[in-house]
Amino acid sequence: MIGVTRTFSQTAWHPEEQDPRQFQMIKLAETSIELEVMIYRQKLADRVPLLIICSIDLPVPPSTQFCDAMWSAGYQIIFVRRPGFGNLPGLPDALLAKAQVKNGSAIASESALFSLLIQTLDLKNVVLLGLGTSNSICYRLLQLSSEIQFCIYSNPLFHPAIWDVIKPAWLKRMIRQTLLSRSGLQIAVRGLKAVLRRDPIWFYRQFAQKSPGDQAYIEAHKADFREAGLMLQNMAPDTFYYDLQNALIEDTEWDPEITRDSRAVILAGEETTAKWKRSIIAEADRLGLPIVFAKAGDLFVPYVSQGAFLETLKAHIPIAAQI
Amino acid sequence: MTFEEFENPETPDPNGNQDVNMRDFLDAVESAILALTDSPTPARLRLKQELDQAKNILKSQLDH
Repeated sequence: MIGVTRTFSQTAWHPEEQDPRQFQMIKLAETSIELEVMIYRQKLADRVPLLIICSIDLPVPPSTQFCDAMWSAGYQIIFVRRPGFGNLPGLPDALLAKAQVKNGSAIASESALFSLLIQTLDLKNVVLLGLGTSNSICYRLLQLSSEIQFCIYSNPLFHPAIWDVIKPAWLKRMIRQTLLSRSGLQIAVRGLKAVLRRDPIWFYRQFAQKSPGDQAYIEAHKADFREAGLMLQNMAPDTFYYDLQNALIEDTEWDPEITRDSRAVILAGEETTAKWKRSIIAEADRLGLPIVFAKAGDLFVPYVSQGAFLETLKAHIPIAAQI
Repeated sequence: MTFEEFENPETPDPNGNQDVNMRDFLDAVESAILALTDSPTPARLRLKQELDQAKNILKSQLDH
């Protein structure tokens, strides 16, 4: 059952009128909290829900071509834009204070919202896809919701070598600054917004410079990345702080006792540095999680390497993938 | 928030973290805590601990 929904394509999403990726405001059951959700082709269909929780760097849904490919394979993309990432307020200020971000209150609360979304939409046998900074949320959501049958952590940032792979160097310095102090955060966010305002495509090309596959995806979907740039410009500094803190400071909750038996895999791209690859393999080993390396892509690896993504789904969810 | 608004902190942030829904956030957190209590595992108990902390801070803000 979908709760109260309202399309708001005029204000929130600017691709062509007939784009099947229009967003809806979904009101969570028995609350006044709304989330921005893109249900591909608008209505829930008799397909396996492929729920995507977005990363801070790309708060827009995957391309129509990707959504169509998943549709043909039996999956319906449901993309959630996280609170504060677009047109709705972020988490309450009380949860975004330094102590609450560090002790996990904020991220656990956000996971609770997505669990409530699964209930509100009455989703069953969900396949969950985490991207970049959202993987720690997905890790918690997997424990919260019994309706998730499988989870793919793509391009996870949970290992210790994270700072080595953020490119270019100026962006790494800027992101580091967001975590050091309140004034550092404000300066860094102001700088980032200035760059995005000047040329969002240039920013994304720089950010994705390690991967020809990511670069090609940006070139093929420039309108989406312009939209993403606008979303990032609209983000409050506290939301930046919260998300980057969770993603870049080691999340000690990732525990092999939990992950070893979880219904999940890691998906990463080959188009990255050798050091990162070694590090992510070591972390996957520690956690006892299977890891799949796709030939192309890095930040946007599931979207870029659709074949590898679908093969991973087929290997773990054979019945659904044969629809 | 536009650049100008960012520069001028007195301007209300239209996309900021308003606390108007704090009661609903608390309800969402409490409902998740309840779900975790049903079949506790070490992992779920640790997640519950994070949610308990969220519940406490939200409650204290609401009581304030």
